[in-house]
Amino acid sequence: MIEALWDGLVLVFSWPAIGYMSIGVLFGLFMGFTPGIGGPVTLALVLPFSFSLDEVSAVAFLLGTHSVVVTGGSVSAILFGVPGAGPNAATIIDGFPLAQRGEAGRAIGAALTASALGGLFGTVVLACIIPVLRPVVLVFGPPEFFMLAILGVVFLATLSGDEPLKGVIAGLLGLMISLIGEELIVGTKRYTFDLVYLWDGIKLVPAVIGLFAIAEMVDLLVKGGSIAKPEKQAALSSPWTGMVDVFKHWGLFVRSCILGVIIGIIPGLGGDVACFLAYGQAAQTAKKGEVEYGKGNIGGVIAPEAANNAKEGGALVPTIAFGIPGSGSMAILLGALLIVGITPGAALLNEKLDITFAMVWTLAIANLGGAAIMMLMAKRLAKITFLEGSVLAPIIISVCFIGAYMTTNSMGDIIVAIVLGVIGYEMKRLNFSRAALLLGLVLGRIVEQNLFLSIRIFGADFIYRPIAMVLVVLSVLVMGWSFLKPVLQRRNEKHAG
Amino acid sequence: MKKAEEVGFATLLVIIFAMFVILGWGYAKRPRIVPLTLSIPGLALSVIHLANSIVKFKRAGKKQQTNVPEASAPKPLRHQKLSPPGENRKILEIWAWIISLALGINFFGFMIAIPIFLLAFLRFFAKRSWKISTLIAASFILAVYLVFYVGLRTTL
Repeated sequence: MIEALWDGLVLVFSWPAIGYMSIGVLFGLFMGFTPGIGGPVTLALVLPFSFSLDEVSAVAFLLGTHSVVVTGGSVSAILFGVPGAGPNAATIIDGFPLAQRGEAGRAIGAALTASALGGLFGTVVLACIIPVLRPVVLVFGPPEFFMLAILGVVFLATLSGDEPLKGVIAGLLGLMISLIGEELIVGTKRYTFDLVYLWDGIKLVPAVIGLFAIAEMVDLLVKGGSIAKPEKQAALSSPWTGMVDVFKHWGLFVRSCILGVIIGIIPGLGGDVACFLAYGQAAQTAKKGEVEYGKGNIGGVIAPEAANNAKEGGALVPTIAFGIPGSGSMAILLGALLIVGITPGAALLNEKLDITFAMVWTLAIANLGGAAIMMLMAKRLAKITFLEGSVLAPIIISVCFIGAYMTTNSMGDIIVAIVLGVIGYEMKRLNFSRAALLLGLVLGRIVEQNLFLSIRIFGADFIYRPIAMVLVVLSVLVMGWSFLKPVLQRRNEKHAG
Repeated sequence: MKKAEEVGFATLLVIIFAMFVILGWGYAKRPRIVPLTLSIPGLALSVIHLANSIVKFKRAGKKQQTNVPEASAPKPLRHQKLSPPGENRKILEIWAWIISLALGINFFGFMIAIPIFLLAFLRFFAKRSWKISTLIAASFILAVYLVFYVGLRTTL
């Protein structure tokens, strides 16, 4: 095993693998930074270029590209309120308010540090877990998926702030929107109004672009000025402050990484779930006196970014061990591995262990390298937030439309972005939680599919499986605490007064 | 004004959830379980929210009636924030620009619609000079062309 670890490192640093990894990292950062064009789209675009490469170079190129897309996307999420990819959506909730306060540098520093270290965490777990992969992956089934999704739904209550009714309504609306389209078990077309585009449901990327990016740009144009107030420019926050913040919040960081790895290991749950679950647990554990979550708490940036990158190590586990991709990106990566002659399974865990560790090293080095590159550019990038909004907004809106269109090459995605943009703008004006709607949109289908699968396979007793029971108890505790916390806070304030 | 907007949005939510419930009822047994389980409480909560909004709107209306009469109220100064009708007009104008971009993309494609949109928006909304507007529009579309058509060999 140690020998394979060393051989993998040598392979990654050999020429031309290191060259292709560098190109992949730069390209991945650029694509991630470009609003809306991240995740599977990036991998799909670079896939053809990998066919003519040798095994190691192809792995280094593809993984190098893939592992930094979310890192690049965090920067556009913070600066413009536009997610680079779906998993960056949760970063917007606190990242963009930080940018509006002139603390974009700090937020970017925290996001990049959390991403880099989170990616390392996921890589280390991946390396350690390889000998014990099979029982870990097989222990999760539909009942556990269902309860994890319910846990995510329960976090809706924490995203509601001081108007829980509005938050719950927004969450329910998100859950309902997620059910639009073809029902997967029976095939019934629900709420499609005979529109073929809606058969596949509402896609996440155009929805996020509309709810957050377009809504924020419209708000910026209405209010005038720039994203951040000009008087804040003199005290432009340093990205190194953000780096220190990650170490100050080390407990939150570790919890988020663990959550990310677990979600990554479970095939089918998807990366978007990891960032919101991480955000939800961060909001639950907010300390008294801290900035409120949703209004620019640095923890709201650290948690989702740590989870996002930690999950990449976890997501490779079922992909390389069993050939079961954990997400859309992993499905494309799996296809690429097969094309270049790497077959997932026993061979990768035995004779070709050096290739497996080459993947592990690529993830680690690409994460660190990508974060370092963006860190050097962070302060310059942060100055974009002081540009005049009436010049910046139409450019961002144009990029958003391109990003939305690239989801399925359909005008329907642009229409979805506009409709949800209108809804998102009104929600922002009237203090409804857009994060709750988004969380509902992400989790709705997962809840329904796994509920029916669980009942089908295990009957109504599926809830008594050990891990599912633990998650039930956790959900009840989280729900109870969400309602108890404001009551206790009000009582404490009364006594203090 | 915001209270009226709240009532309007709350009404919209009630209509949306009612639509989910009514349409959901028409599906077969299995496909309608989860939609109805979620939409019925959603409808109930949005009705409660609408009722709250209407009560707040009426209270705000009564409070306004007991305030200083209009004739003696000071006139708004020029540098003050836009009045609600002015703000609403601006919001509608911005959405009209965005929808026109979408229509332009639909009929003429990205490579024609986007530079025209940027040029027109920067000139007539942002009040920039023709020179700056043309420069920004041209630079942007050149960047799009280089990245997508040349670099990624993909068409929009």
